[in-house]
Amino acid sequence: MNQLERPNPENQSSPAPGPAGGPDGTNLNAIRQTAAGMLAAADDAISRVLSGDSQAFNAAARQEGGQ
Amino acid sequence: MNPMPAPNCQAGSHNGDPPHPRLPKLCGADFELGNLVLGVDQPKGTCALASHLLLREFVGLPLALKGHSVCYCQACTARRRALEDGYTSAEFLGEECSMTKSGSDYNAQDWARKFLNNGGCAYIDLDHLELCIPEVLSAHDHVAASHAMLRNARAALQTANARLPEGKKIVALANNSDGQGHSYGSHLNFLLTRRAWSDLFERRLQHLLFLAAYQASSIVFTGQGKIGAENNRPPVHYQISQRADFFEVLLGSQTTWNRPLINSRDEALCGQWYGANASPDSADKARLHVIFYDQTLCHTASLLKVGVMQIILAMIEAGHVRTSLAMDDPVDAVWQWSHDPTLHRRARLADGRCLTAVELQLIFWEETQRFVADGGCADIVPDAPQILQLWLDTLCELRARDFVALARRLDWVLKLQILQRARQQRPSLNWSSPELKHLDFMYASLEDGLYWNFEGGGLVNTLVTNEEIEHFRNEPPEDTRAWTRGMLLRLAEPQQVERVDWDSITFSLKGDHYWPRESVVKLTNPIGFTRTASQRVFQPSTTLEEALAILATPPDKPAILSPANEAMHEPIRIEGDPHESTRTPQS
Repeated sequence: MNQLERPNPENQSSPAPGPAGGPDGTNLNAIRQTAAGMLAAADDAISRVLSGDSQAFNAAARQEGGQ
Repeated sequence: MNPMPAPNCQAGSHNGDPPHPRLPKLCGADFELGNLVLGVDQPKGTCALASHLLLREFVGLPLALKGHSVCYCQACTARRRALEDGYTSAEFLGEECSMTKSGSDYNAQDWARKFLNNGGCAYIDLDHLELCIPEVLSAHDHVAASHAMLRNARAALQTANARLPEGKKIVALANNSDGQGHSYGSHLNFLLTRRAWSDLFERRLQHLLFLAAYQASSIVFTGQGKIGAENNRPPVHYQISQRADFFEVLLGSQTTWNRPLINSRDEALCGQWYGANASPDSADKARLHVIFYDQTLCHTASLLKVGVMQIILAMIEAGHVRTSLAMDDPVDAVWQWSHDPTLHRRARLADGRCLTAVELQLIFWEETQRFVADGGCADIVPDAPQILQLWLDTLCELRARDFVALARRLDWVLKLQILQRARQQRPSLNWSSPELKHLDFMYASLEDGLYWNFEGGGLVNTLVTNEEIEHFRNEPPEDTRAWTRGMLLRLAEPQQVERVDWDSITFSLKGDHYWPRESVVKLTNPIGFTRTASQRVFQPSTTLEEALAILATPPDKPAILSPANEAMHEPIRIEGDPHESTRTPQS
């Protein structure tokens, strides 16, 4: 993580304890946790969005030009 | 990385020209939202209805349509009623004004603009709600102010939806393409010296090509990503940039057709630039109008989009331009690179080398790193070393194709992972499925967008705090003229504000006789009128009249008035060698 970046302190769960990291210093547990979190969040969002009428939504999204 | 030789040429240092003037890389931003109303069927679509209902909920000045001559054509009447009364089924709402050619002041690209307490504004541009953040000095503040403005738009959306009849719902999308051949912009505006502007567009073609090569390859971290191709480009499942397909030429002043990679529209926004009343600020300051980029939501992508551009423009301003980075065909390269989210595709440089976008970006990084290390960004690009480090970290992850890590930083990667997950979850979906395109749109939906779902879950890296974003919803930045604009708008009674623009405000005050008198404050210097420069004007007991007595410009006097208020008008100007820089007069 870059010094400009910060985790979201209100929402991010602590990394699980585990091995210090891979050969390049990466914490594999943290990466796995991020990936698992991504997938879980994606699953919820996908289910929510896809419960609607996608065809009608896409047609309604038509815009008339712009800059 | 290969060591690079010194720049080919530093204009101004080899031919006897005086040293380059430099200016802080102040940045503005304006973005059009995709907007629509579900549950309503209108012949020309629902964009006009949605944008009017959203704008209606913003509190700003001048009051709605003040200063406009009233046009009674069907379209203008419908628009006025939508702003005043709310929901309407008038089918003329999306029509052009039929009286435009005979004197109506309706402007489809700038309708019913309202300036807000935070110094930014909202208006309707070609039936999109357009949001402008106030001028900021740092990329950090750009991220906070942009998200603040999106939160303001979300609040407007929620209020507007609560007023709608049952079964109808406004949707607002922070994206740049409708997937049906229409694109709308997310523009950036950077302050640069008039000389740099002239070099870029009138004198030194190598500066233009340097910028074009940087922009074209930067989509690897600035893209929002989208499904499919548009504008007659070859079919593709998923591409990196929402805007790439719509760029057709290298250079031009147009923004709605035949779009250029680099826009040459010359609006200094620093006072009148012609005639006897020309502003000194307009003579030495210019604006670069950047129409190239996607709307980004990930903080890292947004910060890099603005921060690295600030550094690149500082280099151009200093004449630190490497001609060997010019591309053979940057317009072609943009969509070619955009159509390859695996990041393998190469594009040709003018010298015959073929590079991936990431490889070219790494060369830009090398060049930029030396410039920053030599003090080239001192005082004009806040946090330049940290921006460089974040840029390098991100480029290294892109080179390694570490998409799990990149999903925390870059919109196009995060969106792609969501779409790939949907395909895993529902094997019947393919890249042409409407469900996937629906997800693509919903990534940036203001009300319940997937991006915010991930941000709220701590799954993207953040660079600004919730408090900073909330602050910018109502407060202007303190280090640009936006502060004085915001303070003046708070001080005035709404009826007193006649006209507001970026570089001036016109008030209507009680006159000595029957007629009111006008008072104009010219804010022609975008880096003047800061809190430090102006706060003595805005004491708790100060009236508008008292503030204007200090700030306002008599109509027959030039903009710079007297030593008493000189600090509000005089730019921070850093001349010559960055190692010898001096700041006057505010240091």
